[in-house]
Amino acid sequence: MKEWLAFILPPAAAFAGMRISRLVLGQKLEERFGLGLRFALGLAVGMLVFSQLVLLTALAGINATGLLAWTAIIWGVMEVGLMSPKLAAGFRQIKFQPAHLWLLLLLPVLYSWWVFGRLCTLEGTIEFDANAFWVFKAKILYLEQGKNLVAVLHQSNLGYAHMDYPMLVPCLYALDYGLVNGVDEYVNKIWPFWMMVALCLAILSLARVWKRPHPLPLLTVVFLCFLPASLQFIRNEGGTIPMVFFISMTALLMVTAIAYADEIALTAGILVLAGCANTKFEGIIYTVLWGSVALLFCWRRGWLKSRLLWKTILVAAICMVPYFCFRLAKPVLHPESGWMHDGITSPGTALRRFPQTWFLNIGSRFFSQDFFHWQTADKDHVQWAGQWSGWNSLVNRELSILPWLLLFLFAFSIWRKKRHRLALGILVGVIVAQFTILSFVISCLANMQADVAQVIDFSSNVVGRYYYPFFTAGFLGIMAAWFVDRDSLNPSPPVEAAKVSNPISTVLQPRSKKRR
Amino acid sequence: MPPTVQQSEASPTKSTSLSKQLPVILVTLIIGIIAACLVWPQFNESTNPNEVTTLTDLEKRQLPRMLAATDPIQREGTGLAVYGRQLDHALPKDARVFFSGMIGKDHGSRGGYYFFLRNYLFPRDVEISLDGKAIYREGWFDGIDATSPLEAQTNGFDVWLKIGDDNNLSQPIILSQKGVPKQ
Repeated sequence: MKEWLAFILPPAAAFAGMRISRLVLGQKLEERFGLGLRFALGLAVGMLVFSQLVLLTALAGINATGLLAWTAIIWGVMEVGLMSPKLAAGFRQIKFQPAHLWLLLLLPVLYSWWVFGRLCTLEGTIEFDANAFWVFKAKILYLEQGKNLVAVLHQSNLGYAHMDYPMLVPCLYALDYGLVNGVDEYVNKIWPFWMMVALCLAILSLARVWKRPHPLPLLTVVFLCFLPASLQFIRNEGGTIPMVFFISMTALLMVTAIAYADEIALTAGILVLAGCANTKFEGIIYTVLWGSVALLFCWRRGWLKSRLLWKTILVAAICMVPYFCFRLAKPVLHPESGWMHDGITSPGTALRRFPQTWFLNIGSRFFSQDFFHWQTADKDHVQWAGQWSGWNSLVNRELSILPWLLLFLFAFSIWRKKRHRLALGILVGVIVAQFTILSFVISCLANMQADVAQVIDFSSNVVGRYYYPFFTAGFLGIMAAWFVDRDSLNPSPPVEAAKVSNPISTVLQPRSKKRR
Repeated sequence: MPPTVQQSEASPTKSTSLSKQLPVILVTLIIGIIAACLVWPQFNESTNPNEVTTLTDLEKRQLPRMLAATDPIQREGTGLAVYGRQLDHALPKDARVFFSGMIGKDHGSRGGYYFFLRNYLFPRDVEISLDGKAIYREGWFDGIDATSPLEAQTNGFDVWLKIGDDNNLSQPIILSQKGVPKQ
């Protein structure tokens, strides 16, 4: 029973988050975005708000996890009640046509959800890092508050647990513990499961598959769900799937915002960026990169005077306050947190290591481990020790052939999708910048500087999970250019097309408004 | 707002409409073929009956195993997680545990045991250094190890755990009445 309650917590938080995002972004949100995208945005905002409230109350000495979790459940149920007449009316409007048979392509995805949905309340903690860091910190948050919490944060022997990391994920687990009234490692996986479901719904909603069914967005969802890394990490706890969710949502919204000069998509993207920054270190870098791009874009579009934009930035900034307070408590640092100090101490070695790190980190994502196998004889230079094993050498264990596909899709989309060139260029630019900054951070670490064998090992065994969310986001962002564009999937008659000045806004408006 | 690039490219004839569709068809086909290659293996069972590598394995092997396990502590069979859960279940919440064999650069690889059990035994006091101030360096701990269970007992610990030279975890030694596991 308690597992069932925990299972409905993420969707309840999503429905509550839908209300919050509507309060921030206004009525236009409902006009522009379909239910699936609003649900995913709601989940992002709901997770952000409830997790940060857990953190803030814990710092204030209160265990509010139970209260907050029940608030989310009750609020979510009420929202469903309020929305149900609209939902029923919307469902009745759908005219079933033969093209809806394409929806059968989703059967493998539904099967995977059936399996993972059942497993997520049965399997214990699988991932080593999750056991050592993420779940551990959730337990600390649930059991200790106020001065006791700060005392635990200062324990020098907990330096390994990345105590200084953003706390969104541990707070979500703690929220579950509050709901089931005790620490229970069998409810943690519910969150990554629902995040993947919500991300898929967002893609389908953005492509309007219910009104204009087309195989492309459906196959995109199948591809995403059956990527080896997705199949692996949806079962794992920790920050990987939350990063996939937040980073991919940002990519989808930002590409839409830039391609169609859509202010609502941009402001929704800013809210999701706050989630990125509260999830992991990589998310903070991603937020800074997209934030800079968004600032330039708003300046060029003259949106810097928009009240909606500043209201959203204010809300996003408020959501960062609990983590800021948390850092003021000065939690014990992991040695890796001193990367900047290590880099400044010996900048020459760090800079020499950087191109090697960049090459190994990115190259490892394109090939199999047997082929992209490197060794060192002098701790400083790398030698290729791999072997060609046919076409399989081009298939990566975690990403399959996604990196190769991305290269093709990017080039092809730039050629064919003139309207999206700027958006896609920025998206890929942000992702390449992200890879470069991450590689630089890694090359600054003292142990990486000391021995390139560490870099080789790290790039082949660890970096995969850091880069997977960005490859996924790049893929979805590029695909969005294909399926958000109504004309590309279902070309309209020329007269109707000529009337359309802003496809995204028109596409997503309710039928009654279109008639007007 | 002026007509967009996409609209200005809209063609009035059916043939150009089809040619406009060709890129979408190409992308759809490519994604579809790759998706099929990813999906198909997931619907096959692994030849090794102990392996769980595909979605079908998860449904036919892992799920029934998990559903059949009535005791959540034992759900994953064996392993450090099960051991951690058992210790957590057996020891009083205020028992103090000393974990020996963790200190020093040479013992960095043993850290995993401590990280794992520290999680399962929290909020108990689990120390690896007698002064309670072990410092985590890059992959290893700095501190003062206890040389014997007696030394740990003198410092007020209730249970002694040790990683031996073979890198294996020894059976816990009970140092006080508080460390006696409940049945």
